Amino acid sequence: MQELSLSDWLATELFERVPSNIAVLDREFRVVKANRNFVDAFGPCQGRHCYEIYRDDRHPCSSCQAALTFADGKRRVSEEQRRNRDGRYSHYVVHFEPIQLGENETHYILEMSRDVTATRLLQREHDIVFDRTPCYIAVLDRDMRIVRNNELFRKTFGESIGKRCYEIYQQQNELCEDCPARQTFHDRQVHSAYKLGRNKEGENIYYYVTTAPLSRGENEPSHVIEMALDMTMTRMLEQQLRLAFDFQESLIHSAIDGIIAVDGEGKINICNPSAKKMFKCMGENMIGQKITDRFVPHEFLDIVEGKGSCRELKETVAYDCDGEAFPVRFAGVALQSGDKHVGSAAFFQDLREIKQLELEKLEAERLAAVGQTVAGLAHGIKNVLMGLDGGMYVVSSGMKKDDKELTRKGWEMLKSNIERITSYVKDFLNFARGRSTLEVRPVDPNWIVREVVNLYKDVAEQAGILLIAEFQENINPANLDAEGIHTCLTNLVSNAIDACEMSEKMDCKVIVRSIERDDTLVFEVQDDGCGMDYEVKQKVFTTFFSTKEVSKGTGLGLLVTRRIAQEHGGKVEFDSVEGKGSVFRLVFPKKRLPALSDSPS
Amino acid sequence: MDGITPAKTILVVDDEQDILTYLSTLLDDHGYTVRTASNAKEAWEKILSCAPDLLTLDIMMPKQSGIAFYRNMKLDARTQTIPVIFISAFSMAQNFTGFRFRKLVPDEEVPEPEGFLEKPIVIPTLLALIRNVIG
Repeated sequence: MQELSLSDWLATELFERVPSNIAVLDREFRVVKANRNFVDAFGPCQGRHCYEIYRDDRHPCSSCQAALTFADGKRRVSEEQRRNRDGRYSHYVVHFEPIQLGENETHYILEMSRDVTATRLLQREHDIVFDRTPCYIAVLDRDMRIVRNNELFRKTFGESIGKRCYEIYQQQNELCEDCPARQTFHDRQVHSAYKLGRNKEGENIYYYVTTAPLSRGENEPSHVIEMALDMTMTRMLEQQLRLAFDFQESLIHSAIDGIIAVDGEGKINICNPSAKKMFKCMGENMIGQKITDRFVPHEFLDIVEGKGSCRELKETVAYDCDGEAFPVRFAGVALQSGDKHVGSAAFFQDLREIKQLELEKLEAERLAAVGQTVAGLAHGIKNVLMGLDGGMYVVSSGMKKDDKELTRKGWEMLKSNIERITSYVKDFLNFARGRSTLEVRPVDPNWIVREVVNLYKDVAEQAGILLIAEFQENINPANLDAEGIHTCLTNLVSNAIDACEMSEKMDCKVIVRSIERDDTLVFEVQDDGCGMDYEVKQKVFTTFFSTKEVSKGTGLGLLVTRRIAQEHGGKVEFDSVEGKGSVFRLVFPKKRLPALSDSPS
Repeated sequence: MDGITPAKTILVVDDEQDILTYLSTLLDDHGYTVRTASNAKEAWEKILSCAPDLLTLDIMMPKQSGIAFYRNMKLDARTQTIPVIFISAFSMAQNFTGFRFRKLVPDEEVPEPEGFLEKPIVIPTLLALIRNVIG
């Protein structure tokens, strides 16, 4: 009973409950019976041709599998696309089973189909992932032979199916010591390693490889999948970055200039050895400290705060760790990355040595000038000696001849030559006394000009020369040794008046100017007198060569003027055109003017 | 003094009045006729007007130097035969016969002067040199 009822159940219910779409086709390809699943998938179909149902076609398909099974009575499996009742197509795996009710003839076909669309989709996605992932992917068997690989792998390493991985990656005959694939075969765990290999062109390839076990239920994995990420580009960039970094670091490290740099927040991140030495802070760790005006000029702090992009100070004062001041040349710049302010850098050039050299040079020049002057002096003294000889001779000749007039003349010669020798000695001592102690006070430059012009007004007037002062208004007081500058201007004005007297023109003029521009103070004395020819210009400051008449000075004037100008950090410049006149300028860069003297005078 | 031969004329050129007084007194005392000039321009006028037998010439003078004057004179047919004795404060050993003279008298056209004397002069040396040149 029970058995009977089970076969009844099977006969009736199994057909309906199997999780497949089942239909029975007759030789005309008409559906004679179909289960519920089939109807759910394709709609009512009793008596309809299969090709109408699946394709909405009027004729059997050219490659009809059912027709083949009808013909040879063999079962078949195929994969087909069929239209569902909702009009969409799906992938089906279809089994064709011949139903033979006697003889060898197939009367019907049992057709069982299963929707595999989802599986197909998954497989296609897997294929895309496997082939198109920008990694090298290979599947290895236990013998380390490559059984499958992806497109990028083949492109990079060439055809390699059946070859051992180490022959491909490493181009060697042995397994690598740290082979992650071998470890995965051994412990079924995922392993990774950084490796260096070679591509088919023999170039180095850096890659990061991960291996994972592939198994189909066995205890030991039958295969290992190897996924390698190419790090060659990254590695090259890393190397280049390291190279650039090392290059710049050693550049900063070995620079003669002191370099201090701060980040965007004003914290010191570079302080090179030159800076440490300059500021005497060898032991102190400055990195990370907030920058203050302890070491850098306050102008730099503005740049750190983003006010301004660069600043150069040709000469300023810095203070070292002991609080000692020293002269530096300074440059500060804002560091940008695109539009972003990423920090600031300060550069210091220690000027102590240069300053010392400048002093030594000044001293050497002074000594050379003394030497030249001694030579010039010897020349002058010879004239004086001859004058004295002459005086004696004329006196004795006059006395011998009882010629009173001649004796008086000789006496005058003696007197005037003794005066000359006195004047030589005074001027020379004045010149040769060495570095004077300047009495530096804040002085109104116009005041000195006024004094000198007043002093020479009468002399100039008597000689028919117009002496004019042209003041620049609102000129700033400057640190000067008033007496020294007075001497310089006196010399220049006196020279200018002499040049006018030597000129053939009748109405000459001398202009004394005070000028302040570009942080420089200039005193200018211009005349339209005789000017200087080439030979005289060459000799103005060197071997002393006076073009003046004998009674008019020793020719030390310009040397003294130059010495005083140099002691003020300045210089004497001149332009002259023969027959047209000369301009002499005392040029004082204000930053180089001397410091105020300590004691009040 | 020999009354038959007329006195020789010497032109003394120097920008210092003291030197002119000295040399003219000295040479006058020794029987020469002396003319003086205190610069090159004046010397040129006198040389043409009084045709001296000899010149004493200073080197460092305002405007035109004695060297330049000497060159002009030796290149002019009217004056080139007149002998010249330089009397200068330049040291002959260093400046005059060396660098400076060669530089200012660079070519072969101009002959060497008859003498150089360094200031202050030694009187017998000057007189002997003058006698030697013009008798």
